[in-house]
Amino acid sequence: MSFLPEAYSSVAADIYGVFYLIFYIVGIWFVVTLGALFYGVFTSLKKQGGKAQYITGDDWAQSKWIWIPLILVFMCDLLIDVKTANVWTKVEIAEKMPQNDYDVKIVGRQFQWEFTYPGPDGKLFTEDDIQIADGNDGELVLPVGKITKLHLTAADVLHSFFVREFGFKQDVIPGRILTRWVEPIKEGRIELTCAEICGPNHGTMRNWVKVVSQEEFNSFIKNLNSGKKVAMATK
Amino acid sequence: MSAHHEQSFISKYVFSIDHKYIAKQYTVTGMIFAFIGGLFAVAFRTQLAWPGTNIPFIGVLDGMKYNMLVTNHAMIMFFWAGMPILLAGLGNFVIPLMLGADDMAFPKLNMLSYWIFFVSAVLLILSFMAPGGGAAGGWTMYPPLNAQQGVDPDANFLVNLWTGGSLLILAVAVEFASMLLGGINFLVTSLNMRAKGMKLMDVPAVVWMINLATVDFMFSVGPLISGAVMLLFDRIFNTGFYDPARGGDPILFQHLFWFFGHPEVYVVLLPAIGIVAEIVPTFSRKPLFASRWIIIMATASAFIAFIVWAHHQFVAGIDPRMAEFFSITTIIISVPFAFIFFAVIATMFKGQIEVKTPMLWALGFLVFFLVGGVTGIFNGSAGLDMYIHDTYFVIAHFHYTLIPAVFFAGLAALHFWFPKATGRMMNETLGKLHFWITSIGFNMFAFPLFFSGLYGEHRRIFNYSSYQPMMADWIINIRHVATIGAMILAAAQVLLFINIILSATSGEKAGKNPWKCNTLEWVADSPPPHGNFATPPSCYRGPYEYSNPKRSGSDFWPQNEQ
Amino acid sequence: MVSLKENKKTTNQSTVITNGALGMILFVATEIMFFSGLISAFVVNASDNIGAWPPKWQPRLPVEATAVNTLILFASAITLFFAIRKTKSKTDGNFKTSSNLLKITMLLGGTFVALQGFEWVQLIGAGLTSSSSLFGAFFYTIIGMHGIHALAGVIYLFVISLKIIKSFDSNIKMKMMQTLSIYWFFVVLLWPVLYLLVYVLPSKG
Ligand code: HEM
Ligand SMILES: [Cu+2]
Ligand SMILES: [Cu+2]
Repeated sequence: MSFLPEAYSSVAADIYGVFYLIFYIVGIWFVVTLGALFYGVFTSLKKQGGKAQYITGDDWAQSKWIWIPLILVFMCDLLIDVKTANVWTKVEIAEKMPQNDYDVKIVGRQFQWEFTYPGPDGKLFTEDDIQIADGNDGELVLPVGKITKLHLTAADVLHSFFVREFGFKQDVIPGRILTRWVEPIKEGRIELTCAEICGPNHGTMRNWVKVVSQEEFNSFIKNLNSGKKVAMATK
Repeated sequence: MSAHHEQSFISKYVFSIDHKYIAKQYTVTGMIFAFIGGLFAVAFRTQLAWPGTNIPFIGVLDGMKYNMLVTNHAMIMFFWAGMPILLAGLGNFVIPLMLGADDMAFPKLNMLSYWIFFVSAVLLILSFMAPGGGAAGGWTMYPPLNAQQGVDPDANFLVNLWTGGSLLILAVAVEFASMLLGGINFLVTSLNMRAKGMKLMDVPAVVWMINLATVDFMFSVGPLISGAVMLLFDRIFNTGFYDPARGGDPILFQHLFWFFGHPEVYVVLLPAIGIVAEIVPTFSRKPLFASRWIIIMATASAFIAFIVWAHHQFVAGIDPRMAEFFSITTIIISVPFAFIFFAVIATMFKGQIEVKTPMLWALGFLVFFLVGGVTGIFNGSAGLDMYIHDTYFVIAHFHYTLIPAVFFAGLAALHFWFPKATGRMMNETLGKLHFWITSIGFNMFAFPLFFSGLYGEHRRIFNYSSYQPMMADWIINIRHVATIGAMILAAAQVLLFINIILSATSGEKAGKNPWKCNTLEWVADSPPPHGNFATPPSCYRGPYEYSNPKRSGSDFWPQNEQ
Repeated sequence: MVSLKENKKTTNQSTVITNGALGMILFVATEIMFFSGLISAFVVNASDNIGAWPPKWQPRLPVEATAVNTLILFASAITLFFAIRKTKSKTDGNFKTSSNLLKITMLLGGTFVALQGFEWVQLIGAGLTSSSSLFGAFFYTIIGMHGIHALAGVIYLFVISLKIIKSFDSNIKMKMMQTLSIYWFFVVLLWPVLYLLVYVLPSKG
C-alpha cells in the first residue's frame, strides 16, 4: 500500500497515518459487511427451496444483530474522530504552531505562483521584501529541517497551494492572508500545483518547491539580498 | 370517477395534469439529460486519456472547453438528471399510487412544475450557446472566479446576463423553483391524502424517503438561492458581494452553497435507499427488517445533513476549530446509514430471494454504494482531507455514491415499476446483460481513480503532461482504463434504450401485481387509468407483511386486504 | 393563483389543515430560509465592515419616513385580519365586505410598495446605488426582494378579492382567504425584521 507519495514534510507521515488507520478500520468493516451481504443472498436463494421466515426485526432478540455492530461502528467513528482531530490540530490550529525559523509569502495569481522573501531586514511585510518572479528560477526554496511559516494569499481568484509530498493543501483567498507551516524533512525538488479551479489555464498552474540544505539556503538568501540572480543546482 | 373524463390531445400528452404522465415526462427528460451528461464525461475523459484528441462536435479540448464540460457535466447530472429522475419522476409516480390517492394534492401546480423545469432545461441549453460558451468555473460556482468569468464590468446588464455563467445560474434557479413547487405537492399529498386507515408508519419507506429528501431540499435551497442571487447580481449589476477588493467575502458563498450542497446529496441518496428498501423485501419475501427504525434513522440523517456542510470546506480557509466540529458530525453520520445498510442486509437473511432484474440492480446499489460509503469516512476526516481534497480520490468516492444512487437504484426503480407504468414487463435477459455491462464499465471507470487520487492526482486538470509524477506509466494506464470504462458505461445504455422500446411495445403483459407486492399501487390496473383506483383503497396494515404465518395461502398480504 | 387550485376530491384523512394552507405554509417556510440566507450574509458583511456600514460618503437611509411606511404595512395586516373575521362571523353572506376589506388591504400594500419605489429614486439620486458600495448592494437586494414579494402579494390580494364575490361554495372561499392571509402575514411580519436590520441598526453606527 504505497500509493501515497513519499513524505517530504514532518506532518506528512501523520496525515498518512490517518489514512492507514481509516483504511484498516474501514477495510475490515467493508469486508465483513460485504461478506454478510453475499452470505445472506447466497444462503437464501429461492432456488434452494424452503420457506421465507417471518422476521420483522422489531424485538431485541432479532435487532441486536444490527444494534451491536452499530455500536461498534460508532466506537470506531470515535476512534477515527480522535485521531483525525489530533493531526488536524497539529497542522492547522494556530496556537499549536511551533516557533518558526523563516517566513515566506506565497501568492497565487492566474496562472502562476509568486514567492516573497523577507529581504535584508529579515522581516516579512516590510518595504525591502524581495519577490521572486515566476519562472524556472522562481521556485519556492525551503531549508530542510527548519520550520518555515507560509503566508498564503491570492491576487485575483481562489487558488489552492498543494504540494503532494507535504501531505496537505490550503486554498488561498484574495484579500486574506492565511498562515500554515511546514518543516521539510528531505531535500529534493517537488511539484507545487494549484488544486482549486481558477480559470482556463488552471491546468497549467504548476511551479516547484526546492528543499535544500541549510548552507544552500543561506547562500540563496544571501544572493537574493544582494540582488544577484539566483542560480541553484537542480537536484 | 366522473371527474376524470376524456381529455383533448394537448391536455393528455402535453399539459397533462395526471401525475403518472408528469412522472414519465420528468423521467424521460431526466434520462435524456443523463445521457448528455454522460457523453460530456466521455468527451473529457477521452481528452484525459489521449490529450489532443479531436472530439466530434466539440473539437480538441483546451482548458476552457474542458472546464466547461466538467462544470456542466456535474450540473446536468445533479439537477437535470438526478433530481428529475429520483425525486420528481419517481415521487410523482409512486406517491399518489402508494398512498391510494387519485392524484397529487395540486395537479395543476404539478403540471406547472414540469413546465418550469422544462424552461430551466431550455435556459441550460441556451447557456451553452451564449457568447464565450457555457459556464466553466466548476459546478460549485465559487466566486470570485464565477463572478468574473465572461463578465465585462462596463457592459450593460443584458450583455452580462447573456453569458454562460449567468444563464446557468438562472437555469439552476428556475429548476429549483420547479422542484420547490413539486416538493410542496409531495409533502401536502403525503400528509393529507393517504388512504383511509393508513397511518404514518404504514407509509412505504420509499415515500418516506422521498419526503425526507424533499424536506432536505426545501429547507436548504433558500440560502443557496440567496447566494446565487447575489452571485448573479455580482455578474450583472456589478454589486461586489463577493469581491474582496470592495469589502465582500468570497467564502460566504461557499457556506451558502454547501449548506444546500450537502443536503442535496441526500436528496439523491434517500430516494435511492427508499427504492432498495421496497425492492429487497419484495424479492426476499420477508418483512423489511426493523422498518420503523429505518425510518427513524433516515429522518435523523436528514437532519444531521444540515450540520455537516463545511466538510467540503476543510481547506477553504474556514476557522480550523469549526472544521473539527464538522469533521466529527460528518463521521458520526455514518451511524444512521450503517443502521439502514445492516437492516437491509438482515432483510435478506432466511428469505426466499429471487434475483429478478430489479433485485439485481438493488443488489448492485448495495455493493457499490458500500464502496462509496466507506470511502466517505476518508473525506470526512479533516486531518486526511487536507491531502485528498480535490483529488481523484474524491471523484472516485462520490461517483461510488452517485452512480449507484442515480443509475443503479434509478434503474432498479425503472425495472420495478415499469410494469405498473406501461402494463408490460421488461425483458429480463436484456436487463441482466445491461446490468453486467454497466457494472463492468462503472467499476473500470471509477475504481482505479482511487489510486491515482491517493497518489495526488488533482482534479479539473485538462492535461497532465506538465506534471511529471502524473505522467508515470501506471497513472497513464489508469487514465486509459478509466476512460475505456466510461465509454463502456455510456455504450451500455443503448441496451437500456432497446429494452425500453421493445418492452413497452411488445413486452409480456403484466397483470395488476406481477411481483406479488403489498403496496397499494399494485391494486390499481397496469397502467392505472387517470384517477388511479376504481374505488379508493383502504389500508389495514404496514407494507411489508411478507410470509406472515397468520396469513394462510399466500406469502404476501396486500395493505388493502382485510 | 389558478395553479393553486386544490384537488378537492380526495382528502382521505380527516385533515387538521387544508391542502392550500399547508402548501402555503411550506412555501413560506422556504421563503424564510431564503431571507435567512440574505440576512446572514448581511450580518456577516456588516461585522466585517464595522465603521463603514454604510460608508461615510454614502447617503443615510430615511429611517423616519420608512417608519411611517412600516405603519402603513401594519395597517394592511389589520384590514386583512378584519376581512377574515368577517367571513368567519358569517354575517357577510356574499363576501362583499370581505372583498372590500381585501381591496383596502391591497391599496395599503400598494402604497407601501409605491413609497418604497419613491424612496429608491431619491436614494439613487443621492448616490446610493447597487454598485456604489457593498451596503448599497445589500440594501437594494434585500429590500428589493421583499418588495417583489409585496408586489406579488398585492396582485394576489386583488385576484382573491375579485374571486370571492363570485358565487360558489363559501367554504372554498374561506380556504382561499386563509391561504392568502398566510402569505400576506409573512410579507408584513418579515418587514419589521428587515427594517430593524437594514435601516435602524446601521443608522446607530
Ligand atoms: C457516465 C458516467 C460518469 C462518468 C464517466 C463521470 C466522470 C467524471 C469525471 C472524470 C469527473 C472529474 C472531472 C475533473 O475533475 O476533471 C467527474 C466530475 C463530476 N461528476 Fe461525474 N461521471 C459520471 C456520472 C456522474 C453522475 C451520475 C453524477 C451525479 C449525479 C456525477 C457528478 C459529478 C460531479 C458533481 C463532478 C464534479 C465536477 C467538478 O469537479 O466540478 N457524475 N465526472
Ligand atoms: Cu488553479
Ligand atoms: Cu457533504
